[in-house]
Amino acid sequence: MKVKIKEWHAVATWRWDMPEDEVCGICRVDFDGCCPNCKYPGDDCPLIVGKCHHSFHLHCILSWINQESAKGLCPMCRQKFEVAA
Amino acid sequence: MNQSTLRLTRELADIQKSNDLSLAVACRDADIRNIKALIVGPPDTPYEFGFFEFTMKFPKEYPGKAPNVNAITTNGGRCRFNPNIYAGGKVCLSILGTWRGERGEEWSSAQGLESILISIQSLMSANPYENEPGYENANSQHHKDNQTAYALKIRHETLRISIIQRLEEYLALKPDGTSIVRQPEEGESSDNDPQYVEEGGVYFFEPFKDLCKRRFLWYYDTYLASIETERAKVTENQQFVRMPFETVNSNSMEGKFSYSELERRIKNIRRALDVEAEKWGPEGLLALEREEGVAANLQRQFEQTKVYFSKSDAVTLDIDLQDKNPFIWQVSYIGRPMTNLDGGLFNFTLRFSVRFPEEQPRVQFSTPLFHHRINNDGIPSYFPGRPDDVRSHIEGVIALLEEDDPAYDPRTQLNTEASKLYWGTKEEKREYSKRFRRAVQRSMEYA
Repeated sequence: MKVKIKEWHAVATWRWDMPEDEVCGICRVDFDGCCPNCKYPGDDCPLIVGKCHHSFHLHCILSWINQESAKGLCPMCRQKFEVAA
Repeated sequence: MNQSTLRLTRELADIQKSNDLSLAVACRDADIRNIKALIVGPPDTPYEFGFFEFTMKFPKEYPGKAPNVNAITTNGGRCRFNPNIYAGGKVCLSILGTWRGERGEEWSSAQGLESILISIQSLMSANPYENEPGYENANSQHHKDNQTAYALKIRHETLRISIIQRLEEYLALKPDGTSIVRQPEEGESSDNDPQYVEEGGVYFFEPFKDLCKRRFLWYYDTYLASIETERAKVTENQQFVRMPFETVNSNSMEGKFSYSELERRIKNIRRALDVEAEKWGPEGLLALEREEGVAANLQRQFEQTKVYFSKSDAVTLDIDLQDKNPFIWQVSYIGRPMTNLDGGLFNFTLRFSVRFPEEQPRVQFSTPLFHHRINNDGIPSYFPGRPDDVRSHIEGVIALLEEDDPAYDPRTQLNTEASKLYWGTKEEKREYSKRFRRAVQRSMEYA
């Protein structure tokens, strides 16, 4: 039988390229979810990976780093937090 | 909801879900930033199976900033239980910022409720003397004597303050064993939330009352054994030795040893707990008469559970109510053939309070058994799947009996003698099996 496709709807899902069950060490929400101040996951609430290989929601690590007591250190390993290239 | 309450909610739920035997946390629904925590003293330390309570206040900036933690098991501010846990309640911990820490030991937003509690728990070690800064490697004879003396008095005060005083308060017992008479107030109903204790018009939040009572029943034999061992190490009325880091009359642990007194008081508590559970029967009948929800709930659960087990091929057991009272369940379990329970008939009772499930049932075997997880009074260290589901309580008890290859956890070992044999040499294990089988074979006679 020959079928002629007249119309089609593409459906796609996405997830961050992260191990499935990992959570952000600061807010403890899945990386596939968003930080507590955002509504929707995605480009509006991106992730960030440090040179120390620890990852966070961008918003979470910013609120930590902007604090004086943080001294610019990664909350997990306390090395200087620098964005991985 | 903001960031800090969202994270706290998650952390609270995680700890409550994990059924950790050493930690418990609770808060009032309306006030998630004020958390009460209970740490059960770690085994093989002078704090063993004591109940240590803390309050934790979380700032709005959490987890950016550390919470404020206070010890409240301090005998009203008179007892310093640890070099780092002051009589005034201060907890000195570098991650809390209450102690000068090395770089990298301060608070970070990756720390949280559980990591704080584990840090405090780790202060409660076998040799807390070395927690004092500068005393880490103090090895002279003088220091060694102090270390021993320190552990001795901590053990005494753990029993006296964290266990005995707490339970006496819960049960309205005076130290001499008589009870404090409290007139029930006009219009007081029996379905008051047991977590709230009214005193002089103020409600105190007491979320760990039932937990501590049940754990007291678990560990009762180990408390008695500990009193026996410790009694031999000191003389009655001997004064506590003051530690070099303790300040007189303000931040120390003063007093004298009196194990005969502790023994008397702890036995009184044990009796009072039995009296309490016996009252639950008649209280339950009253609730049944008044057609209260809890009576209907238990009656329905009884009927469903009875049918469930009668249809089940996996276990052979029968349940009945004592005098048709849905608050007292009697369970007879027939040992599974071809196992070490073969030929045994095991009877146990579940007593329910009208405040079930906030107050959990008291479970007790009437069949005498020799088992590492059942104490001499017949109280098992079992785990229900769901606290409000009675069937899962019964299944928990059966799982304990049928347990094949358990992992060693000293916090579930309620019978000291049986535990020593069970986890001992090959010969000892054989001796355990022999004694266990003997009890199983005799069990029919008790039916």
